[in-house]
Amino acid sequence: MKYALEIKNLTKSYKNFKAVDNLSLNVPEGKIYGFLGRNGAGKTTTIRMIMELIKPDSGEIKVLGQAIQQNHLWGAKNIGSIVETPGFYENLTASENLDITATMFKTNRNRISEVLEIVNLSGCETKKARDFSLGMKQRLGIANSLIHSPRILILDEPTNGLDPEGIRDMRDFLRTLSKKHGITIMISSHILNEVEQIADYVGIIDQGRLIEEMDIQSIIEGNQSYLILKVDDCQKAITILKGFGYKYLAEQDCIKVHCPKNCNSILNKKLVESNICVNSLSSVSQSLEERFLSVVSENNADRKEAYNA
Amino acid sequence: MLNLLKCEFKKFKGTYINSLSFLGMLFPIILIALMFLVKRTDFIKHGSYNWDYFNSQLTIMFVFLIGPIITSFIAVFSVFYEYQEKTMKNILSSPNSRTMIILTKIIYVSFYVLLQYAAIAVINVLCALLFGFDITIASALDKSIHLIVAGLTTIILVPLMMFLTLFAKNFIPPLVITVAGTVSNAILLNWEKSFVSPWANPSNFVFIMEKTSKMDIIYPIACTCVYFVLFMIFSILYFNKADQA
Repeated sequence: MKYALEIKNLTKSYKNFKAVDNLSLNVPEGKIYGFLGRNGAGKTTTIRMIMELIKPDSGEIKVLGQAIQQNHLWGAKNIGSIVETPGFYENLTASENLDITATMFKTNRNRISEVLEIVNLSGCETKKARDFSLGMKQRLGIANSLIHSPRILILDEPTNGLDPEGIRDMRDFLRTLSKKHGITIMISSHILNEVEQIADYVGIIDQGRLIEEMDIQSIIEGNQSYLILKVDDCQKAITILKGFGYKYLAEQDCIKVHCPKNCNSILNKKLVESNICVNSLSSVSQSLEERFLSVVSENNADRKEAYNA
Repeated sequence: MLNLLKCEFKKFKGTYINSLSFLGMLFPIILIALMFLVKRTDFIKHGSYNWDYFNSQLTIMFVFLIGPIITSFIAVFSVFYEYQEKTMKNILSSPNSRTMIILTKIIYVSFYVLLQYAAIAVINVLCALLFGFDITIASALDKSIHLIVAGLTTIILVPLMMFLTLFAKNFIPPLVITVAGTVSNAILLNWEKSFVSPWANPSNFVFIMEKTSKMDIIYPIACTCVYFVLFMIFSILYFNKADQA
């Protein structure tokens, strides 16, 4: 697989605090990558290092195969970004703001109307940035970061402060941007259901370390949240479940069993052998949120264990 | 660099830095003109209703007070404005080196300050014509050059103020230092080694040119050049090394 962005062993410390700790991640080209983590996990610090706003203590960042620490221009030409909130000269119009960016990037001024059209802000050229709503500012920020036709777009919490309609628009817009224009998009967020709906890949970061990186499909297919069991004799089935030691929740017409996916068939066999009629077995996959919470808590437990040892 | 200079010009257009700094520069000339209007008869009685007196009042106000303060204000806010509007990260993400970015700001602000001094020199001549003072081309040129030199030597404050703003990421510490430096001008007025203060050099130059000071011009020239280069190196090094989140 070709990677648009490769990070190896990236570390950044502030006095005694390690904001990013030996982080390695790979963002596949042309895909949407969700960069997840709790507040203070190190997402923004990582993005700031990718954008060279802050300097890493150690590690390497490669953009489309080239290390940017040795070639700042390569990184700047190929990445567009919004770090935290988009910045504008509030007294200037949308067009004037984009004109400044176009001049900095030595890009043709014709691109201004093109990017405004991409972000659905055509007709707002002469409107001052201070008169824009939050959602419009986010879109203008994306237009600003697309002006030099970058191949990678990095957005730090792009839905922050947006209303539900704005969030949906942003989601649709980013999907279009990735599919239609082939841009690799890296989105950092702690709003998991948002990322779940648009990301192809996710990386989970906690306490400055990457604790999991995988494609979203494998999360959906690979991990079971619980099993819904419909049987003719619930009491007898519960006795067997107790024997396995699985957590369960008996409902009116079914039992929710919290067991690993690979145990479904063993459980089924045992129930059948005990003369229980199994009417249906349905597996419910883990949501991204459940997966996130489980890997984060596992990571915390591992760290505590290591610390105590 | 030309691209970045164009960007600075576009940014400054219509900002509060632009209008406030020009109003600040106009303030002493308006004040002195009003004083000459109100106390016209008194000045005529004392024989001081002439351009020499008008100009000396203006120059003193400029070199001691308004010039350093306004120059510092423009330099501080040209950097702080980028932090305030959160546009510093946009600039740093562009394909331009940090050295070039800060150098462009220093050059642009320096030219901008000089331009304002030149505008004041022109308004000064216009005031002389309006008030009906005796004025010759030679005297107009001479007094205008004094003001331009004052402006030129005030420019050493530009990299210093930019460095302090980058360091503090705030406008208050550099402006407090500016006020302290400007106040010290009055204390250093008769000190023979006042050239060591970057705030005192504009007045040193003007007084030497007006032959009211016996200071050897080589000292303020050397100090001005050394300070300018030194402050510029500080700004470039700090901007390159420090995190600019």
